[in-house]
Amino acid sequence: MVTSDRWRRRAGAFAAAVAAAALAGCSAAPAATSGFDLDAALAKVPADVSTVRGLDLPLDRSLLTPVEELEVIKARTTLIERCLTAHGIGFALEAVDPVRDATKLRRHGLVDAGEAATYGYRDPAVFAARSEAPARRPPPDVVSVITGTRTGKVGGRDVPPGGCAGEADRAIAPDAKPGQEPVSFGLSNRGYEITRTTPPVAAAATKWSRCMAEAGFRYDGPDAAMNDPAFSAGRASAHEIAVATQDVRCKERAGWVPTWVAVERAVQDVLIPQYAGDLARERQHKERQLEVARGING
Amino acid sequence: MRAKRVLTGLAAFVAVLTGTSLAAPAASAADLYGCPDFNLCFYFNSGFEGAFANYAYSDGNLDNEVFRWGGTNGRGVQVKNNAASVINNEGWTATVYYNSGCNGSVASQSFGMYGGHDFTATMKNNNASFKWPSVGGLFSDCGNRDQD
Repeated sequence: MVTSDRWRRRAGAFAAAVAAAALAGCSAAPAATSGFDLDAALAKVPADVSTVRGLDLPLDRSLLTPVEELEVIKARTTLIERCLTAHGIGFALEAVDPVRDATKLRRHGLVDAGEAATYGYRDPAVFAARSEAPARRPPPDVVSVITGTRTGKVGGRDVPPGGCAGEADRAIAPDAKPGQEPVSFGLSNRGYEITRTTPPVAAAATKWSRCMAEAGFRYDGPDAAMNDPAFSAGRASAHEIAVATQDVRCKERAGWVPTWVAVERAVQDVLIPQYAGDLARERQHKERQLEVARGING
Repeated sequence: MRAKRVLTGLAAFVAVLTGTSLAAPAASAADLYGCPDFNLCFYFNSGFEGAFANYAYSDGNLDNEVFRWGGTNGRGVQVKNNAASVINNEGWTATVYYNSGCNGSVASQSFGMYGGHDFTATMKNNNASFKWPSVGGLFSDCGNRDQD
């Protein structure tokens, strides 16, 4: 068990190290930690992270999940088809399957022992059976009605501004911008980067590294294992599966997930009040597009 | 090079459908912001401006292509982690990943068919790989291929 006080004491030295690393780096982009009140966040981290339950985060309220993103896209596709039909064009577009096609996020790296044993670090979706060409691509004259590069009347009706795609975008979102909420998404990923650099997560990474070393695998942290170039092509080797399986085991032993979740919740709690107006607007925008999409998808 | 790539993609598509191959590039009136049909294009600037790179197939790492066409801003810069906007001029949904290998461990962002979007704040300059997830073969295998 570690205390929040202990983390706060270490935060100053850690911030200096992060700043030095940022100065030594070649990127001109500001560090995610720049201007962030790390002390305030660490004060919100529970003293005993083993009590942390669930994976939900405060910013989830205004973010589309990957499945929800595809629900919106599925509805957009349906609206485009209906628009084409209204112009006398019958064409079956891509069949979007949100659950099948959505990214399975690994916010905490690889944590599923079954996936590790079967796929190593690879995305199981890459190995899922797919038809080579499940949908015909629309021919150019149809595409031109979808995109609005063709104007005038088609099927006795004017092609809408921006084509059928533009009409669908306006139907789903009042600003004609369906899709992920930009401020929430940006903050979420800034919070991720901050979380990665905090003392509690760094300490958990050190525990994880020691555990991995016991099995003969030497990595500085979970990211290094998952991004090992040896694990990037073809199917997973026996070595990759062994590393991945040990990775999952060591994450459990190091308390990696509850530590990460506890810290990331605290980080987001500090970030959110600075963007309260934008986030409230985006929450409404998200709920509106989901409501419309689900009404269309049934 | 661009014409060659477009032709390659189109030829592969026709070959899949008909078992034949194209002898000459088809005229394309369906470009969107310069992005050829049947392609996903990454732009160096937001608003589909600056130089762009086009992709006919999924790609597990955008580190071996550069912004090659269109405007001069960003011309010659590596695509990976340097794009600000995207056009999906394909009939399928595209998903762009924060990580290489189409592994969305941190984040991903999906784009519907025939549409363009600026990347959100974080995906901007964090585009590492992409695929068309509803389609099989080269379109979703996320192979690390050189499409320059």
